[in-house]
Amino acid sequence: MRLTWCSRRLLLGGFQFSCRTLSQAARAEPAPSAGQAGPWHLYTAVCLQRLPVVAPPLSEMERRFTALLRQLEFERSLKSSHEIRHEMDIATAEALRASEGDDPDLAEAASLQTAADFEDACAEELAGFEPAPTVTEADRAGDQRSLQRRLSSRLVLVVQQRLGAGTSWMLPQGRHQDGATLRQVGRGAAGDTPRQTAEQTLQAMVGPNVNAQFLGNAPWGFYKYKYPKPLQQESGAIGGKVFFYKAVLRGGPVEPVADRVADHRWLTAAELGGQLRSGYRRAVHRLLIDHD
Amino acid sequence: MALSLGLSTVQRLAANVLDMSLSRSLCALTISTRKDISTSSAAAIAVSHPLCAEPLKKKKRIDPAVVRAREERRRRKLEKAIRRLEKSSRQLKPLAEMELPREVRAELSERRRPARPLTTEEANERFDLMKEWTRHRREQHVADVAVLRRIQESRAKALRELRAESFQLYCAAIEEDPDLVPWAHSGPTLTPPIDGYDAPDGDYVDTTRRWE
Repeated sequence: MRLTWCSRRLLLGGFQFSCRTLSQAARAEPAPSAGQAGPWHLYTAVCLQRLPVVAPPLSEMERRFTALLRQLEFERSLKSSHEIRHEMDIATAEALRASEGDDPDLAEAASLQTAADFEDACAEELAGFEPAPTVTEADRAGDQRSLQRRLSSRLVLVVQQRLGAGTSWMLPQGRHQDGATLRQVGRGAAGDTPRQTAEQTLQAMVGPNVNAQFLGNAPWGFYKYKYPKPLQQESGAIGGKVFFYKAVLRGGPVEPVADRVADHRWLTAAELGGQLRSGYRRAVHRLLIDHD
Repeated sequence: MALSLGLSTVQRLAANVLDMSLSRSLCALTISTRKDISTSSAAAIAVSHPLCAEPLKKKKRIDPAVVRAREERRRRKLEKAIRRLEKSSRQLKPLAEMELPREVRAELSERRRPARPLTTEEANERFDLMKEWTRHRREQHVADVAVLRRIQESRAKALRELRAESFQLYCAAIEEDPDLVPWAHSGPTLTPPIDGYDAPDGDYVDTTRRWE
């Protein structure tokens, strides 16, 4: 059977890999495809995301339901010690007023800190703490280069990359260089994996100090485009195939390298449309979570 | 040190060894007893070398029914013990955190809130709100599933295209990433962190109960 023949041949060839895929056919090596006009250049692009820092505010529905839940919990609960203390304070005050200040025990009991006093003191202490605002300066200014904008959304890095003579807005992209021969591909000098190319691309575009965690070895999206005619003749390839890799920004400064990148923006999924070309934007949008 | 008497040796052995035939034992010993038989009893008394041991006790043959009965008794005892332990594990142990504290349980009557009956309008409002919420959550779930499916399809397409392009790169791409799992992330908070915030010192009293 073709399956076992292939697996035996590949194992004997010293091929170290673990193929676990969804479809059976994927395990077998495909026959060399015929009828390709010319090669395609391979590119890897990196979708670097800053995850949300702050939870989004509750929607109308959520606020109403939260209020209902709070009410239900209150109705089904027992009184807390604080409430009991408060009721006793009220009773003491009443008794004091009724006895018109004759009873010294009552007077002493009333002079201690009441539950209401304790509550006020707590509220005052809380008021002394100023939390950081969820709507920041960058939000008000609309500074799209800042990472402090839109703290409750995910932001994606989009760069104005220098391509030849001109520039283009895209995700940071780099050319994947295959190994010269059909040698074993892996972590070695023979050739980089696409994920390694993606990591190198990111470091080349935004500096080596960025701390990004890549999500797996497999690409998340695909985009294909044809070169203009003069470039096709010059490079000998029809066009480029871009494979998108996702990464999460963990920290570290993002310093765009000037000779590769003219400008950069951090955009939400909804704002990508304004910056990217429609076909490219659709490919990128397909691999993003766009609730926010 | 064992004292061996001539004729009495033969008698002792013949009486104890049931398996060995009398003729065999007599044969083995007659040679020796011939030397030992003498008219004077004193000459028959001979002292052997110091043995520092006694001859092994003969294994008594036990009735197999008795053996079986003993095994049966042992097994029944073990099973009884196992059943007792299992009964104990089936019982639900009380959780201290889920029970009311002793002080609260004592004052339960004072702590109860006066029951305020709901009007029909209020009850209907609550019912409607719960239904709306169920609908809202279902819509959210359907949207989530659609987003996840879209992302999965995008990845499947990318892998298909990569495989069509280069099988070796595809195989490298579907390898496991050991750095991905375990994944850790501190989720979103209500307010963003304050730069250079100096948290005030506080007390930390560890009230974890320990059972040794």
